[in-house]
Amino acid sequence: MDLAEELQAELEIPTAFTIPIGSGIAINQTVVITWCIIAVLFICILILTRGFVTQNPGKRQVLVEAFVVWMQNLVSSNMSEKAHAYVPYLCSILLFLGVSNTIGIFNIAPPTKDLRTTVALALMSIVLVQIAGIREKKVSGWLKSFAQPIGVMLPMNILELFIKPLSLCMRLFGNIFAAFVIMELIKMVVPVVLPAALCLYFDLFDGLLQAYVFVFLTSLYINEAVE
Amino acid sequence: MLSFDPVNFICMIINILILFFIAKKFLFGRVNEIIAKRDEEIKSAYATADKVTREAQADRREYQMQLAELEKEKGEILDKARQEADAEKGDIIGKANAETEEIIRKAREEASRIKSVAEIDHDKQVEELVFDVASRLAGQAISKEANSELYDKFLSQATGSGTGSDR
Repeated sequence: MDLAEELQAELEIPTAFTIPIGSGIAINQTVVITWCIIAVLFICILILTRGFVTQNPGKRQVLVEAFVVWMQNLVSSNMSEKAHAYVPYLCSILLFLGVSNTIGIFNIAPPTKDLRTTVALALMSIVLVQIAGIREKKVSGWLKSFAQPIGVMLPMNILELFIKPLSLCMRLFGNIFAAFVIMELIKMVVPVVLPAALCLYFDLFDGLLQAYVFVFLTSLYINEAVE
Repeated sequence: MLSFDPVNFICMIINILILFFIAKKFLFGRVNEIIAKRDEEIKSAYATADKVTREAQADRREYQMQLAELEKEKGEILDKARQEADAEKGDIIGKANAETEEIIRKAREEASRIKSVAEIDHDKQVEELVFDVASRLAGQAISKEANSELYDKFLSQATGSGTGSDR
């Protein structure tokens, strides 16, 4: 198997199992990894938030509270008061992307390497942006906002409705996909030492950065929609 | 690699929604609830502390007012007592002076009476002495030396009697 074929094989998303309904529903590896991530996060959350008290909190509680407050401040820092209702969703996405993008450290394929994940995330984000706009401006105001600041911008604004999620999903997918490809290539060429060092950048730094960029842009879009 | 099937896409959306609800309910919900409760407790504690401070300040003001009233009352009582003591002192001194004057007056009267009695006694003694001497001179012949001795005796008796009556 040459390098190209080997790389091609690494980039394939294999089917994890098939649900025997009709002609069979194939569930791929990304969905299963996402289930695992959700399960692990759920267990961690349950363990970490157990027995919280208001007075004399323990170190665990202080750390969890500090982390949550820090994450909420990070997300809400560039959002107006009206958009603060969407902070929990954005924090959840930040948490999910943070774990998903860096899971490559454990030699597990990141779910965000699969286009379906990034498309789903982008679609949900843009639906949320439009819901935020409709809730704030009502349907008539939301429709009018497409013709602002002047009527001639209407086609551009309609086009933006598709461009924004597309840019969101492609940026995330492209970065994680590219990082995965580069790391696979490096592993094939230099199997020891170098991948460990570069993994810190491509899996950890770039993964966390892309998670923040995705959430930051979504928060900007929401803020723009409610203003 | 870049294939797109709707089943897994829908599964991913459901997964993300599930994660969102889990994170919202069990992480952000719990943490924010605890933080809100703590804020409420802190606000309540501050409110209680403010209330207690205000009550303490009111009590202090009342206490200071009572203290001032007590000081005023104390001053009045002391002034009154001082005035009464002064009046009583004046009475006592007046009475003492009156008694002293009475005693002195009585003493003077007594002294004067004693003096007059002494003078009368002295005169009688002189008179008796003169009578005695005269009767002796008249009754016997006296030599020059005896005469002189007799005069001296008379004079010494007269001087002794006079000195005693003066006292």
